[in-house]
Amino acid sequence: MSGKWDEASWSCGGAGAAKKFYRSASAATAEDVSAEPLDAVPVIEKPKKSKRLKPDKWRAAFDRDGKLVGLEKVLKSILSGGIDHSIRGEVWEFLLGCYVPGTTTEYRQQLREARRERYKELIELCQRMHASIGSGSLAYTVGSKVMDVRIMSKDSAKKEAKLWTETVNSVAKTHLENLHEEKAEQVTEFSRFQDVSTDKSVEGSVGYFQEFSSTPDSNGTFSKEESITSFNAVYSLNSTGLDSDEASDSGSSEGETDGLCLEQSADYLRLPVRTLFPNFVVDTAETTMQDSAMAAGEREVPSAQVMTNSSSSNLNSQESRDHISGLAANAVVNLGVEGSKIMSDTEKSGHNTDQDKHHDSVANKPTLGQQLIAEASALKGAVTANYVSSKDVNANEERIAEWLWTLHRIVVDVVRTDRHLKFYDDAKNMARMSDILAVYAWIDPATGYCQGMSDLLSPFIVIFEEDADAFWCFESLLRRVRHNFQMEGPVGVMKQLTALTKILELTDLHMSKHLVLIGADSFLFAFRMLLVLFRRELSFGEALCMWEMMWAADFDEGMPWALEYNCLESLIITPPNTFQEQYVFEDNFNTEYGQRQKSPSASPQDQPSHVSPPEDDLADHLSRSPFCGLRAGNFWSKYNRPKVRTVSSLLGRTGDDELSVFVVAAILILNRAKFFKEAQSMDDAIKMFNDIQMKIRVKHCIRTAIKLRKKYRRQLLKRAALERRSVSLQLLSRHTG
Amino acid sequence: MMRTVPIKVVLLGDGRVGKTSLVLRYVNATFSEQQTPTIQASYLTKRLNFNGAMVTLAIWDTAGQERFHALGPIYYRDADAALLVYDITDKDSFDRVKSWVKELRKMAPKDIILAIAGNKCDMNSQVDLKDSERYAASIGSSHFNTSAKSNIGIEETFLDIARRVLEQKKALAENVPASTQRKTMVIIDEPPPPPPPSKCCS
Repeated sequence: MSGKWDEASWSCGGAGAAKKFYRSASAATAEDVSAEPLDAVPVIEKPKKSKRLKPDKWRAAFDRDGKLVGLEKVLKSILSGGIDHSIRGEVWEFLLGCYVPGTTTEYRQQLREARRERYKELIELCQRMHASIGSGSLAYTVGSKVMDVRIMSKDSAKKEAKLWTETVNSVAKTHLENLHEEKAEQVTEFSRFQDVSTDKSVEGSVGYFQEFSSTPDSNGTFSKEESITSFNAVYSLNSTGLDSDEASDSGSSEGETDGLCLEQSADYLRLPVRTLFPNFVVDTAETTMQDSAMAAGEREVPSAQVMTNSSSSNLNSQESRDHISGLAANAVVNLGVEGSKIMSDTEKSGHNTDQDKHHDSVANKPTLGQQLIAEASALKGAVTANYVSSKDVNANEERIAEWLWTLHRIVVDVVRTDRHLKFYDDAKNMARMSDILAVYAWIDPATGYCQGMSDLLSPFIVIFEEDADAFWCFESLLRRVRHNFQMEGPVGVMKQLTALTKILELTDLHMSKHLVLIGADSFLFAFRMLLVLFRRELSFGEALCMWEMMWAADFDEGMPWALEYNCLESLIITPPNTFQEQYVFEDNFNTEYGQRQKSPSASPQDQPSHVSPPEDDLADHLSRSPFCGLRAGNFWSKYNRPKVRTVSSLLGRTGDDELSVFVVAAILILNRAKFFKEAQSMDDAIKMFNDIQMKIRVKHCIRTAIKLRKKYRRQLLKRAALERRSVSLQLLSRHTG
Repeated sequence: MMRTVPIKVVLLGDGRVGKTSLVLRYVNATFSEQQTPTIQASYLTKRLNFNGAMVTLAIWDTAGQERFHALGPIYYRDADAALLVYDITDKDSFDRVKSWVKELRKMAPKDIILAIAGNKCDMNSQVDLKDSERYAASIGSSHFNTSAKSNIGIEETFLDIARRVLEQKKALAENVPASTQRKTMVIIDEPPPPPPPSKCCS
């Protein structure tokens, strides 16, 4: 996979140039990071004596079946000099827990295929929302900021969404309740509705509509005219329908919209329409937009009936009918915003609507959002229809809008990540980075995209030729550090910074005192180091070495299972048959970590039960927050943290066991003289770390860090023993006293 | 020889609005479309001769990403001025300015000088300029349209900050006696003795 890496993606100036850099690199100081030559080949110390893990040694570590048996040696080798670039990718996959050492080559190959397949599906899914994904070019022109795809700002969007919910629900309710008694009246009202929309709502609704229905033009960017046209087309569906029923007075709009062909709108809203309704379980007690849309399909509402009729000439039977009712519902929803005043009047006139319920429940708009959930659930293999209740559809529409905006932010950052590497002069490589971040942001909306993630991803793009492999490996890394980037909750790094205080207190009192003296014991100056794992402090190559050494030092056989626990729902893979045998391993692990509740284990038979937590609770959560696409395990861990923290130490959640934290301490200690002399205040400390005035020698730091960690653990034990002794002494003295 | 007045300015604002670019344009007269996202903060200084007074601007450029919001206080806690930057092509970033203002009102030094910069003014605005100017005026801040790319308005922004900080320092220095006077008055104004505990229940 990475065999050609040396030539293909790495040494842009040829082997000679690369070699030249070897020497200059060892002489270069840390300050040179920004001027790092593009073909930097990572070498930590003198290349001649390099003890890097070489391909032959790596191959020798596998047995005949391809099980990695010589792991100990491998880890030792990595710790003493890193990994040879030609095998870096494959080794990283083991180090990060992507693959388990005890698995066979064949098994891993199957898993890899399955993963690649899944990634492809995810790319296709995202491509539907923005055509640039997977196309090899960036979503927006580099260097020019195109636009905010959202017309409304976040807050107002939320407000409006709420308004919609209410309005649309009341619309639907009114419509259905009036259906039998006051058909004619109601239809008139419906058309009044439309009038309002022609006058006022075009700017507003078109804007929102644009986000979902417009197709990207050839550049992959949204074209406004197109989307407006598409809106008009949709609109025309409705109005012409009503007009021909002669129940409408919206003649004025007919003039402009007449003749806008249906095929056109069909083109724009090409997204999966087949499975719109069957997939969604509708709460019958709740009268929603969908009911009315369904009703429309059943020719109970005249306007819809006509629409269906008129369209049948242009489009193909069943599919088009679903399609059209989808569009109609869409249009109504759009109109609904502006029609809220009218509707609130109707609401007052006798219908006791349960407001709270309306707040919670979300309009059932069979649009892109719904379709995507359908896709996603189909993707999962198990169609979890319960999840796709009427409630989270609107949330998903919002989610798409949010994602499109996230995509924009991703692109803005991608074009300025690691641009000192020639590798990224190729826009294709930037697009790869953007794709992976975009896919990740979609499947993990609780994290989305946060600055710093591109720094972490960049090496994977360079190392892996296959995007899917890069994605999975990157995702494995993120499982460990996700808490740093999630939108809610404290930044994980903060915990590590607190741990640093404790660590230095126990291992280097002198340094600790100095830090307190200058008011820098919060360690905030080390924030960046821990967040992007020394990417900004070290050269590209050095950072890679630092990473693999840290991972080797922290390697734990149980890690993959602990990480499995953190798996995102969209990444659950239904494994091939041979997986059964493999998961015996996990069962052992399960008993070992017996209290793992609601384990999202990957054993295939169990999956459905894992994926669906008790419905009551789920519904409860859903009503409060949109189901965010996390699988059960994560879902629960979000709400019931204490219960699932059994492998927390493996994931470094306590902050004081990951080597990276000790590396920071080691850097401080190794630069002791300079730090004591120059850091006289917090500002000084921040400056020193920002401008990378510290000398950081990777291997040295790692070694020191490992020693520090040992010392720290000893001290902890000692302290605990002392405490125990003093407690027992106290008890004793009390007894004797 | 006049002594140099140090002024600490902190740049705050949403991610990607161009804080780093503003500073780099001002201090180093450089601009790059590919400015690396700031994760922690960077620190640059610029010496000015302001109407004969030597001023050293210590400019702290912070990370804008909302996720790193918690790092803000360590930079603005003893700042003389805060330059709040937003991106005129991004409405959200202006909302972020407002939330920063709220936070600064609560947490920052009371006399902190505020300035707002609408960056990327070489592009089409999504934010109503009059609105933002009105807002700036309402919080006693100045407002500038800037562009790090086209080098517009940056010099003016920092000069304005320096001028206002200097004026404030001057006013503060003149007011010292007054404030001590006020202090004595405060001492006179003793709090009433606490009411004696009721003894009704026995």
